[in-house]
Amino acid sequence: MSWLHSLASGLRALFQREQVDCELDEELSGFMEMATEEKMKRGTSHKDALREVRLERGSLEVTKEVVGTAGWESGVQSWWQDLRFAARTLRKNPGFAAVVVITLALGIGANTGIFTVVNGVVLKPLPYPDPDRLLTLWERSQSDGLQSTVAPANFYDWRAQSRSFAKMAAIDPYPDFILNGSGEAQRLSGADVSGDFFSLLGTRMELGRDFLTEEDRPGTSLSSARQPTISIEISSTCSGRWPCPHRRRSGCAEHIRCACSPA
Amino acid sequence: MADKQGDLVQGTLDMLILKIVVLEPIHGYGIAVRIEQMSNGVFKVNAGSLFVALQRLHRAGFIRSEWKASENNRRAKYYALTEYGRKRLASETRDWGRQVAAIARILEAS
Repeated sequence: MSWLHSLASGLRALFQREQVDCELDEELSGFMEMATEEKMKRGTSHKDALREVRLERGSLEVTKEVVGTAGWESGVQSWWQDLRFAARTLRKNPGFAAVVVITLALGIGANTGIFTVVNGVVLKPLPYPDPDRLLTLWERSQSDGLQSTVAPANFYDWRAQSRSFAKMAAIDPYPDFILNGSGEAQRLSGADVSGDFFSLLGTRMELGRDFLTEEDRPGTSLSSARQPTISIEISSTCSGRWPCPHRRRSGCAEHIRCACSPA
Repeated sequence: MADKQGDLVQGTLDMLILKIVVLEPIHGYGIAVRIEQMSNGVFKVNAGSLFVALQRLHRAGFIRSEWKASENNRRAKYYALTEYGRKRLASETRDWGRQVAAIARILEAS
């Protein structure tokens, strides 16, 4: 209740400043005049009365200043004045202003960039269920100690014999794919994965179905199945061909499998 | 209590203003004179402190103001107590009584 009052009178002082100043001026001069008259009634000369009042009560100018800066709105006012002063100074020195702007832009940009990387790599968990239980396994060569890709046969052995992992899937993230058929051909980034890759990551198919177990056997290739899995991002760029229920969602985390009629 | 004669005990000016305004609507100079008279000249009120206090009390909703013609036909802002201010005065008076009694007890203890 009382803060509402304070807000209202502060806003009035801000936006009807002249009127508020005028009222304060009238009130304070009235105060000083009454005090002076009172002294003159007791026989003091006008000049002496004025001097005595100023000594006893403070001068009109100082009082005006004190009362005018007592409310919260005077902080806003001086902030606004500072802001305008800063704007004027910057406009007068365009070179300095440019340096300031560039410094700020570089500083903010560098910080944002670093944070984005740290957030993506360190802070934000992987977008899969139980991200802290996900591991990537590599092979290390015994001769030179260098990390290398896993041989397919080793992967099958690990998957069959390991008891430390609930599930194991393989991915070769490097191949590129060419999308052609109608219109201009496109180069798409993709990956070769084993059949249980999506179920391991808990990725839901938006459309169609996941790989079947029999499709994961040697000898069955995707091209013979003619059922590629494409990410929503891709399907939205060629939505004319693939029905995509969520066009605006992007990212490769969620995949859909669309029935694609061979051109 | 005060370092300098005529200084008010910190925080008591608001209470004194409320007390004076409760009697009848009164302008700023009237309040200053009334405080001096009622304290037998012990307290002298500086215009700055008085009007800052009036502004604070007005904003808190304890007093309301109105421009009226004064006794010698000058336009002056008259202050009057609101219902909210009346309650505030009662509670401040109560607290003040308690404080004074407590301080007196401490000072009288030997």
